[in-house]
Amino acid sequence: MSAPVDVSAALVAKSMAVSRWSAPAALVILAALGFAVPLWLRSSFYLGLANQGLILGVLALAAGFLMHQCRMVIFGVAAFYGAPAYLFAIASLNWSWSPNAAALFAILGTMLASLAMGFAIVRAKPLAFAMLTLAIGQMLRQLVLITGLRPITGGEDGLNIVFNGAFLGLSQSALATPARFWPVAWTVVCAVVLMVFVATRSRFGRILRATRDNEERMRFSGYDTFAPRLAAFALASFIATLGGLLQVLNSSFASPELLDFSLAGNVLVSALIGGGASVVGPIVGGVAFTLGLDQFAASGHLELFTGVAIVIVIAALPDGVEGIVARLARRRGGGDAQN
Amino acid sequence: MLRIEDLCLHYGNLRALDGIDLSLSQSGRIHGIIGPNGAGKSTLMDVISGRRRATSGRVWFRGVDVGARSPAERRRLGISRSFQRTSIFPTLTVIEQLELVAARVGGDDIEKVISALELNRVRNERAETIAYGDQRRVDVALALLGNPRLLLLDEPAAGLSRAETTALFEHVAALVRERDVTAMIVEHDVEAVFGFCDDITVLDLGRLLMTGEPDEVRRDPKVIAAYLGSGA
Amino acid sequence: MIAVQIANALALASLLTLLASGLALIYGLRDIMNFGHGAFYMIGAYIGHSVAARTNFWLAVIAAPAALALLGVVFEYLVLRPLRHRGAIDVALVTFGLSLIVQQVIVYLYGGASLSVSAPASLSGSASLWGATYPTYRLFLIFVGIGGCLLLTAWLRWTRVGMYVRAASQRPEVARMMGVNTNRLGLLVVCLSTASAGLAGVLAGPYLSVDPSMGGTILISCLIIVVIGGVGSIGGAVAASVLFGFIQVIGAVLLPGIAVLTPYMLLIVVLIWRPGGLGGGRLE
Repeated sequence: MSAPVDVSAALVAKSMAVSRWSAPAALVILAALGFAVPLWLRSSFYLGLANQGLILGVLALAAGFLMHQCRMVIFGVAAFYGAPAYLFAIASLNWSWSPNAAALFAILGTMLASLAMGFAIVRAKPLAFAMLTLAIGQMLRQLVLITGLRPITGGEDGLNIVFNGAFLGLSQSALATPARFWPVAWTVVCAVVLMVFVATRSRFGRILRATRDNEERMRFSGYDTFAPRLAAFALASFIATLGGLLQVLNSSFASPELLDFSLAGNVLVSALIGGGASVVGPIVGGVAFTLGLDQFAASGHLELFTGVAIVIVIAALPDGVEGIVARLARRRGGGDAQN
Repeated sequence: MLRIEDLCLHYGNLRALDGIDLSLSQSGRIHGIIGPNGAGKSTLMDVISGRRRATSGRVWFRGVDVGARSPAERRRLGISRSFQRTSIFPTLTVIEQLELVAARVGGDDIEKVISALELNRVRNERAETIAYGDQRRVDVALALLGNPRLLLLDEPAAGLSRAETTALFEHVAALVRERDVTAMIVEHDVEAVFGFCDDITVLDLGRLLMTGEPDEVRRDPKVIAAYLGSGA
Repeated sequence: MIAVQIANALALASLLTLLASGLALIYGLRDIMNFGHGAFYMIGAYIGHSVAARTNFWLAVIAAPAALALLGVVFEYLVLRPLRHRGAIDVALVTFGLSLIVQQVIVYLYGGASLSVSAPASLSGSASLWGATYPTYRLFLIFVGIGGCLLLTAWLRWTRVGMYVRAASQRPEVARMMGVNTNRLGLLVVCLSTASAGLAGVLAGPYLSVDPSMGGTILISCLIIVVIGGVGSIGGAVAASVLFGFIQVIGAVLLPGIAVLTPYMLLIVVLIWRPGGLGGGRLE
């Protein structure tokens, strides 16, 4: 049973994508309406699922942004899901930091590592880049399992986190309650959608897309093609990190499973099923995918669902992942390609 | 303006460029580079523009050794180029890509470039939808923006009809004279080269055979031998 | 004992070489990262287990690669051909999705617990190696690994088809223009790849464990090896496999905790230093 709000949101978003200023207006309306969801959706279970969907949507937005604007695919997106969780856990458990400080630490730590990596890998060709992110993600996964580090990382069992205080006024139990967590998640969603919206329509977005289409010509036209893509990578990393932070705030748990490669499949499929219709697409995709996943979880065939979803979605796209980009540009008449 | 000193590029046993010395000191002139296939013409252009690195030798541009400079840096210094295989932005319209490049290299002459290369008709068309000849001219237009001092054109007439080739060269010649730019053109179309170039350099197997005015070159026995010998 | 460690490294490397060269063949010829390669390996292992349980090990060694070769035909026509105009990322994702499905099918058929495959009587024992005793089966693995490498090298270098494969891997358009039937070649290479994965799977049975997650685990190693080895470079893949095997084993001895990380660090270092990988690779 899918939440009707999300289906109609998608319809609204798609029809609104046509006119220039009605798109921002629609987004603002959606944003306002979104806060009211817990009033309408009473089921704690489905609200919890919706929260998970939003988190996946945030990750999908980050991955989708990088994919569409730069043709870079983060196979290793799980790193951004798990790293903030572990950093938050370490700060809370080992140093007794408050949740606010721990969250800040989680974000900054992940971003620092990500930028350091980004410096080295952004220049790589698309497939090499994807493989490198995969390697880094897998490395992290192995890292937390190292027996020597068990005291810090909890090894296979992971870490159960006890918050030292409240996060922005919300207690740990509040954050674990779907209805109370929703506004936090929704605020982040609105914020990141805004970020991507602005980035895509700005000069920065145009430069990214031109670089994506003909990197050599950009260089020979005097443009530095490294810095913008590093910036795009940084933005995507930041958004994905926020997703990971939301996860740990909600679940109070850090475990090696967070770093599983399979998350990449979920994220990319969500980014794709939402379509490139607008910045809202990946968010809708994340929610839709999570709801679908739930249906299959009951029958115990989670991974089967993921596998089938991936195959169908990618196979169904006429020109594949990169084709969306080209088709979008054509639909918009060669101007600002959306998202 | 441009001085090339003992430029060599070899990989393995192949010597793509073998000790090229060349000097272009006057602006407002068109300098042609011709030679049989495999002579190293495009390689030379690649090295000057920064697309490839020479094994040894120097490239001086207005007194500056540009060997270590990236293509982007060279463009900002004033060396711009067009490409043998059309390299434009397929999903952008003509005017959009001109604006994009102009935003980086200097933007006051977009309209002049458009009218000079007769692109007004297609200015709002997406580059992937326009005719091949128009696309070639867009490629050249992108190189013309921002008042470059050294304009490198790599087989600009590739795939164009005789009429289109003549038209293109006329446009380029007019622009070169008007703006006092130095142009270096690699071209297979011998007729166009002899018709429009002020000086011609002939390359063969990575070596410079001779440099001179069209008439001298036409009559030079070494040049004739190189062309006839290799059956170009 | 140094000799024992070297032998361990070589045994692991042998298995990886079989797998990685199959993957490298496809990667080099078709520019495809087959994320389902681990699944083929797993299928081979399970078929090996079933056949060996009913008949004997040696029959399994023949049956599994044969079955996988047939599966390769199916894979080519149902998956790779329809996707041939898509980018590498698409194929990687689809094959990954398929591997997830295959994994579930295996769990459905065999359950999730790990199964044991015993080495055949002739190979289950120990031999003495420079004073130390060493499992015969691992020596057998090394033998197969080296043999496989030599066979593959010989095939690539001295047969006409092998030459076509090399040519088409390095300069696909030229090969096509010269009349090489790249479609048939592609099919051949895929079948070789899946068959070698199947063989690796069967051979892995007595050496490693047979469970539904074996495909995923070894896939990552394989991908790393192929990428380090360089596009289209079989020699590179082989060299990288040996390097990998050594790093795993020696690393486990010297730096037990961190050893697990070394393959990834190796990949990162190599890709940053030499974006094309270590091997000769494609001339593009």
